[in-house]
Amino acid sequence: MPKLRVGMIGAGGVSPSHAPHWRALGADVSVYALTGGEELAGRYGLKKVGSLDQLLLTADVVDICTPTVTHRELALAAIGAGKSVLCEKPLGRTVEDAKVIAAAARAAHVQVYPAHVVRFFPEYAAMHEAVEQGKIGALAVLRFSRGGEGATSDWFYDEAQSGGIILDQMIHDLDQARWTAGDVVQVFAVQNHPTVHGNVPRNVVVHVTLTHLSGAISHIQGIWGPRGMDFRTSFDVAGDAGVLRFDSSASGTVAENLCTPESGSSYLPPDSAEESPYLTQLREMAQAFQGGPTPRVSLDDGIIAVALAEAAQASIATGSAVEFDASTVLAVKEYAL
Amino acid sequence: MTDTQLARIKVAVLSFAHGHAIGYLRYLKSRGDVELIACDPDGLRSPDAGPRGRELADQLDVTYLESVEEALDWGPDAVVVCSENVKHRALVEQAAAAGAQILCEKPLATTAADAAAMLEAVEQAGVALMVAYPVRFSPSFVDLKAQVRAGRLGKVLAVMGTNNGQIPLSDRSWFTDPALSGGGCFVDHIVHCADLLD
Repeated sequence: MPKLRVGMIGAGGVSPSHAPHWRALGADVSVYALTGGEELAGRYGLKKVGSLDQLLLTADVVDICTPTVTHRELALAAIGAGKSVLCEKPLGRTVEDAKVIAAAARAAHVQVYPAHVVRFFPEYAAMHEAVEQGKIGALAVLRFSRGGEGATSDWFYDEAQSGGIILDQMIHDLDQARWTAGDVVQVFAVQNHPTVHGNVPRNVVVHVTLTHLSGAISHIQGIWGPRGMDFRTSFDVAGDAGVLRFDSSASGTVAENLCTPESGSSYLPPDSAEESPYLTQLREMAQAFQGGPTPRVSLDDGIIAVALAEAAQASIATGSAVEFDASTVLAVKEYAL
Repeated sequence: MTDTQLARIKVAVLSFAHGHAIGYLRYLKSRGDVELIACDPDGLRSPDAGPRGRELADQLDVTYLESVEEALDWGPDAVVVCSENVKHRALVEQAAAAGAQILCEKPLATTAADAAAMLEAVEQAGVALMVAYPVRFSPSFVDLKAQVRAGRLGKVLAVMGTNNGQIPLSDRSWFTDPALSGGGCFVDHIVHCADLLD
């Protein structure tokens, strides 16, 4: 296999979860970032470049790790240069952004994938596989929760930039629910505290209820909580022949009581004894970019996840359930670029 | 101290339709200060797999009477109503008229109108009516409530509650018949979570 040449854009919160794994896969990695590029490059042995054009000259694969609102412009630039693209979730700030990226990718015949890394977490992948194998029968109720100390960077709390907790964080479980229980036909959501004038509150909880075409119901809780709140994810998936459960707070191997006044846990999930799901994800993408099998997450998955988040926001705005139809979301539409 | 030195109260368990009747009978039987009788007149006609009526009472060594009238004529200080949900109202009204204090299985009633009529009946009779919400008494919930009241969580932003169990199909299958239960797991299980939130 020829050596992979990866160009990372952005050196923020998620970049340290990508850089070492690209290196572990033997890739040559360059990074272009407005801030923090030097430090990231030094820590993981990357080559820092000074411009996007320079990055596109030195890479075959572009890895977009920047704030959500920039994904469209950066993805279009990479696609325009004929590069394969891995784009951090959400694929776009809006469904339109995501569809424009997808249309450009198809027109240019390049591969573009959204990084829905939770599909690569061993517990979630095992749950999905067990459901696919029919081990718990027909699905009835799926519950997902994800929460902890909120992200630290300010842009997460500007709805115009991040889309808020639903688009940024809950999109993981919106995607999991749909991946596991199939097409969604209705979305209902509530939020507390509310987002006012585009300012997402620092302490915020959202509950989303999805009704699937099969009749199964998914309930998803997302929390951006106060400083020091431990990060925790869980699922409880019930079918007519059994139940599958996972709770990250119950699976740690080291009990922790470090007595620090600010026990501020990371916004990112803790390490586990398994291979890092970020490495699993990047390996699968790298193989696809080099002619290997199609990865478990598609461009359409990325678009529909953004559309589910928008439907949840519409439900919060109206106080009513919102009908959902993936085929309408994916229907070809002309966008003025 | 022996049993006879305690002030004994007379308790009647009315109906074994709800499986919790077994728990009440065992517990009340274990206490030295309770005189216990039970009746389950509809037991023989119900399609349960489990024992009902006199057979269940005999298994638990509890004195059995054939009808609600006989049970109330016995003069209980208190009754525990464990019938199918739609029959709560009639039993509560009968027990109130007989002057007994009442513990009624949840949900109190299957309609708001029934519940209001039951409240009126116990107010007129001057007896207490309590709904069986045992989760309120669980140590973890008591602790949780104390922590919330003490402000340790700050302002409560959201709560998630679940109450899952096996669907009663062969034993106590009336739970799955809306005509008797008033509506399946909505009224049977969600009431606990709704009560705790309240």
